[in-house]
Amino acid sequence: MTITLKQDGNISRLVLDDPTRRNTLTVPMLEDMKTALEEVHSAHRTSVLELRGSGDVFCAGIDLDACHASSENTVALLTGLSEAIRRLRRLPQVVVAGVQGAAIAGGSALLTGCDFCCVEAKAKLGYPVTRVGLSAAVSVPTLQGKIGTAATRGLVLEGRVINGREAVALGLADQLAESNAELNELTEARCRNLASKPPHALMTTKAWLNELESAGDDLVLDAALQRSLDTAAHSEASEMLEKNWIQKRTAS
Amino acid sequence: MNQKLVSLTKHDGVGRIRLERPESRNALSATMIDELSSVIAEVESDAELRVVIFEGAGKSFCAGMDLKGVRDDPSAMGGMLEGLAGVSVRIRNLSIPTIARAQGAAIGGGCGLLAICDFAITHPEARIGYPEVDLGICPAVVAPWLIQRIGAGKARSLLLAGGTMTGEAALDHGLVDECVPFEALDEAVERRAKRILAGGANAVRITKQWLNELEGDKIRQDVLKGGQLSASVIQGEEAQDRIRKLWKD
Repeated sequence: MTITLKQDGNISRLVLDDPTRRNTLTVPMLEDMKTALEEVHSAHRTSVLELRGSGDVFCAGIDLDACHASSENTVALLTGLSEAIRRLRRLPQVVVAGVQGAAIAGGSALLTGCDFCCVEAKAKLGYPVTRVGLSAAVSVPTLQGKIGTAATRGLVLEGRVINGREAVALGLADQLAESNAELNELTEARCRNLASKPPHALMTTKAWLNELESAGDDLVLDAALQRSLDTAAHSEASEMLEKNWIQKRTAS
Repeated sequence: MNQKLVSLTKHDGVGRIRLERPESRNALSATMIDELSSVIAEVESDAELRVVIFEGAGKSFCAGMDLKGVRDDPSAMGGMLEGLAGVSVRIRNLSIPTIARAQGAAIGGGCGLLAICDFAITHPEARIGYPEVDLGICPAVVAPWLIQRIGAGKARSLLLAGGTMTGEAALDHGLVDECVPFEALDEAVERRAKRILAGGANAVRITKQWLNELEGDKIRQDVLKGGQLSASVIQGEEAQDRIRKLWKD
């Protein structure tokens, strides 16, 4: 399993658990994640989900080697990513992410489905995907909901990588930790604080915020996914993946 | 005649709506919500007014809903929340700019007033925020207004996290437009009002109406629906348990 899930009192704890691959989102991991999030959804005792990544990096994004290998993989990965964002967003539980190291592309996309995010100051976030011919469209509706339209344009069109401090300033994250130890402390404290609140009020409020924000609607998210799929299907994507991912990696 | 709980004074085009219940930190009772509704009607019909300032008598702007007064009557609590939702839509719909002068405390429904107003000014020591979820209450009425003011992402973390913050933090979150030393609060409010008065009365009015039109009807319907949702949550066992405990000791 590439995902571990534990129920700890009224907190569910989900960990992306493939540290040797920097928790890259592979097709099997996204499938494990789907199963785990279904289990969390029906865990009636819990009102909070903590989302973490094991090792040095929260999540390095979707598996670009697999994208390069076949278009079927790309479709499965982008569809799985879109589904993971939706599932996180629609959980009755409030979702708290703790980000160390990096949350790149698909990793940042997962954060847009979360309600809270504590981030290490030196962590790297953002969507540097146009350089491999891909589009962050799949993440744009929920990103826009989080940080607003102007900041979203800047982030996804330029493909700039930002640090934790900038992520908090933009609103992609909402709490800053200066060290890994502080990240663990703050994330845990926030989970416990939220878990101590009256669960019905907390979860009704989340559901109401979801209802008010059309960014989480299937119609919007389906269109967003389709844009990312169309971009990935363009010949430019396979050329740039070869040039800027496979060759550069082989060279290093 | 009973002392009014909400007063309206007018001077040179400036209306001042003051919550007049300092002994209860201007917590909103059902009567106050009714009186607020009446003074809003008066502002709506007065073509001479060009800006309206919301303020609270005494040390606090508004400590939220007066739940103590209806602690044994959950359905009255629900009625108040629905009433407040309706009044908030009417405040937002005013054709003239609104300024909140938030001193001391602007909590829950009181903080809702900040989110509805076009401008909000406070001081660093003020306590500001939405601790509703801590009490088992769903801040459904303010949610649409807050999303509009500070964006959906920030509104989500503020409302789900509950608690309160300082005036300075409120400024960082975009919940208020200015945070000035307490001694300078009146001056800052006056300055805003004067700047509005310096504009063409018609131009300001048309601009405000246009902004309201662009905002659309859906948010207003959401606020009213939020009133019903809040009313139903506050009457539930979880909220009633927490509320009862507030006055137990």
